[in-house]
Amino acid sequence: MYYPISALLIECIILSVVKDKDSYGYEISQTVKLVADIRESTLYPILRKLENNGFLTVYSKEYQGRTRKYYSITSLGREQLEFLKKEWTIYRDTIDNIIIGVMRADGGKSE
Amino acid sequence: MNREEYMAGLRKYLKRLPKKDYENAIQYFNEYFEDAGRENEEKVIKELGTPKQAASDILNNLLEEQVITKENSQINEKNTIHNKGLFNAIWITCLVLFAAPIGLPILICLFVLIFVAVVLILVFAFVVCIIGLVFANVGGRLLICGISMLSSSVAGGIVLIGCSLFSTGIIILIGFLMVYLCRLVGFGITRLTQRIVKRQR
Repeated sequence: MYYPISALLIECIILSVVKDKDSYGYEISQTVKLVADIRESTLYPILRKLENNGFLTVYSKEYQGRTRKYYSITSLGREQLEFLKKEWTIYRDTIDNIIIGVMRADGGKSE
Repeated sequence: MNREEYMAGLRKYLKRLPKKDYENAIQYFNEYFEDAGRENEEKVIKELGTPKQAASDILNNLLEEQVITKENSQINEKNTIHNKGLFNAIWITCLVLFAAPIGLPILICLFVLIFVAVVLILVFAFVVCIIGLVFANVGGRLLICGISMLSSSVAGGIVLIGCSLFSTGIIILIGFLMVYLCRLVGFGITRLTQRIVKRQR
């Protein structure tokens, strides 16, 4: 993707990925990489931050003879996701409107 | 470089993290390799960059997101803080009481010593400044005398001018010495305060 993506938006994406079904590091990372050119060294700290803030909980589960860490969304995480989604919608719509040309700042009225 | 070598490198560079964070990170990247599969090993390594680069990225990002746990985990603190806090308070009170007869005079001595040192440095600087002024005064006068004397006695005039240049040189020398001294004192004071602050932490 050409546009850089902010860490907050990545938080929004991660929370969306685990919103309906718990997921693990690699899977989350693959989804994030669909839109963001991001390295694991950046993604991992963001996951840790979400965990530390109480938006995600982590548990280990057996998978093919080894343990795998699964991330699960908390109720606090759902609240945060709602907030981030609302902010994203406003952001997206504003940019869309500016690009289409139906929105201008009041001070800059064209003649 | 294969996965094992890569992880060994990552371990080496992430050693600086607290144990819990270190294990967490290593487990995450181990799992990541597992889930990516053997066939994607090279791709993953290429994506991550050198172990050194990846580790420094991880450290920086963890610091930025402020998610590095403090050495004492919160659970431990919660369980022991009440007992330990009270015990520590009694212990410290006893120590202070017993140490007061010796500690107090030492403390006062230390303050006096520091005060004397500061006064000495100030006096020294003052004296050096006075010496500089005297030399400047003498130098200036000598220069004027020398120039006016040139008409009557060339040799005498040159000697006087030489003397004035000599004193000017000494002033410059003292100036440099003072700048150096100021820097040294300033540096010493900052180092001392840094040390005290560090110890208090």
